[in-house]
Amino acid sequence: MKFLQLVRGAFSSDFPKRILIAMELIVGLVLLYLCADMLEKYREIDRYMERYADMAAVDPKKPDQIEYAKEHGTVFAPTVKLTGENGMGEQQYFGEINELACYKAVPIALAEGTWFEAEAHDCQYIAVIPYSLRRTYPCGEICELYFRETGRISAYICGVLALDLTFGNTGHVYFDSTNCIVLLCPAEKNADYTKRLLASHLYVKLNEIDTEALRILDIDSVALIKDGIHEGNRDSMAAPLFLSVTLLVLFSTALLGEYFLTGKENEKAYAIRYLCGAGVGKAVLIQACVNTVEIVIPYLISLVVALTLKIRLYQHSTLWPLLGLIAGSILLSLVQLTLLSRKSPAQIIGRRFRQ
Amino acid sequence: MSLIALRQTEKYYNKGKETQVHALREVFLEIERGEMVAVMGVSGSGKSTLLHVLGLLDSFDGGQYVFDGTDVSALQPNQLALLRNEKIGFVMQNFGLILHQTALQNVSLPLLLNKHTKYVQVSPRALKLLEELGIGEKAAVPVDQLSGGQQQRVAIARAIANEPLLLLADEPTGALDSGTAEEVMQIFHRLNEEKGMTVILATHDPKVAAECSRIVYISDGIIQGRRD
Repeated sequence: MKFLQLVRGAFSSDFPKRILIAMELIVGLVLLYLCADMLEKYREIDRYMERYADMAAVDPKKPDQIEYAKEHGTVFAPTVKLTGENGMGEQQYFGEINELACYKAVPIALAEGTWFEAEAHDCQYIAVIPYSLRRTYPCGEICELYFRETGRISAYICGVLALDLTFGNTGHVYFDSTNCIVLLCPAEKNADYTKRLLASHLYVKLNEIDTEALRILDIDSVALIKDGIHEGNRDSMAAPLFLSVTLLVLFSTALLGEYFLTGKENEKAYAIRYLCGAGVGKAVLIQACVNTVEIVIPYLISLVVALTLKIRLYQHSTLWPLLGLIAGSILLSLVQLTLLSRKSPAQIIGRRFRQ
Repeated sequence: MSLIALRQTEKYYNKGKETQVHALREVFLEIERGEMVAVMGVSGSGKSTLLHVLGLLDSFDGGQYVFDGTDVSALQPNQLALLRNEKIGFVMQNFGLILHQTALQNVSLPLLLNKHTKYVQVSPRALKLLEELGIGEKAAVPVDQLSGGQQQRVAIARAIANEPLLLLADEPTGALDSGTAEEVMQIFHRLNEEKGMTVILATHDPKVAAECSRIVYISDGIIQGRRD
């Protein structure tokens, strides 16, 4: 609807209006690009998931899992969970292992670095950091990290996780006080830390995941793994938030530009406020409803298209832009309210008095 | 009691500035219920300003305006809006419609704003009005796709949606061809005669003015004389 209005306006004899319409069309193209870019990013995430989804954690306490992993996959890396030495009893120790054994496997992939390269460095600890901390703790360097149980330690940063992780879906690995950094301990350096060892997992890259693998490895489904990763990925919030803010700014700019330059919004407000006899509050409400309907209809159409094309939609990517746009609509209506209150009716419609 | 009584009403634009314009000068005017009045004057004489003041679309700077027994100068903006919604209809030369909305949506708007109209009655009533004005089949069409005459009918339907006491029309035939203008004038006559609406038209067309029961001349913001 808006596009058709713009195309019609492009043939207007009013030069400033044509300039404005050109600007709006550019804004529209930028919006289109952003939407396409967003969709592409999510497809990329999907592809990434597909690539790493077949990597799973295997509990070495379960012989059938080990056996299956050796037969059908490649051992990727062991991880070790460390804990403090301050009086944790054996019973608690095993209790925790049992709990861990029930935990759903979550794959961990590296964006940078290699698992267990610390052998070359004289360092007791090695750590893998989440993607968002890659600038604070550069990969390949020894950094000072603080862990509640171990205190301040020096650790070699052997890798950067491809995605951020949270405690919720990676309970079998160890985190620092920010619940982000994964502390690893190479198997060959375990001797000094035997008492600290609670559980270790073998990460295996399976040749394929079939129903038997899911059963043996105690994984509900591949989708579960994917969702597990994605829910823990804080970066996934960034794109929709960025998009919504961008859309809000562009939308506000376009409509406010139209308001000030063409007076079209003024005429609409005038018709509602004066010719139809709406109070200021009702006038703003009507404007907000009209703007919101104009936003929601194309939004719903885009959702249907996305579902038809089987583009995977995540909650954040669909909800935040909509909320942002509705907020923009309300903001615009408030601006209109302010301007309406400050202008006389004659000024609103730009009527010139000639005498 | 007169429906409209202006007493020494003054109106300035850009008051106190170098560009100040004295648009209405001590206007005395009384209009009874059921009258059909033409306000005539050249362009810039103040006839549109007079209609805007009468329609509570614009404020005035001095004097008094009593509408339907109420001194409007004491009313708050939302009370004025309520009066406009329930008792006054306004038709403008450029129609003043919300262009991307349909004819039905435009006509429905004042009905939706009227607290005495139930929601379920809004659409049927708006549709009936459009049918009465001969554009029922265009109800679902966005008004920017309608001809000038059709848009003016939509504007009239919107203005009379709440059956106002007063119908004001600022150059209602100015943008129309002669045939369509004549049809629009017939509508105004019908509303005046059959529904008893008080109709006030601003025009510089003597033919249009001649169809009214009374003509008020205005020049430089001063009421010059009346012909009954």
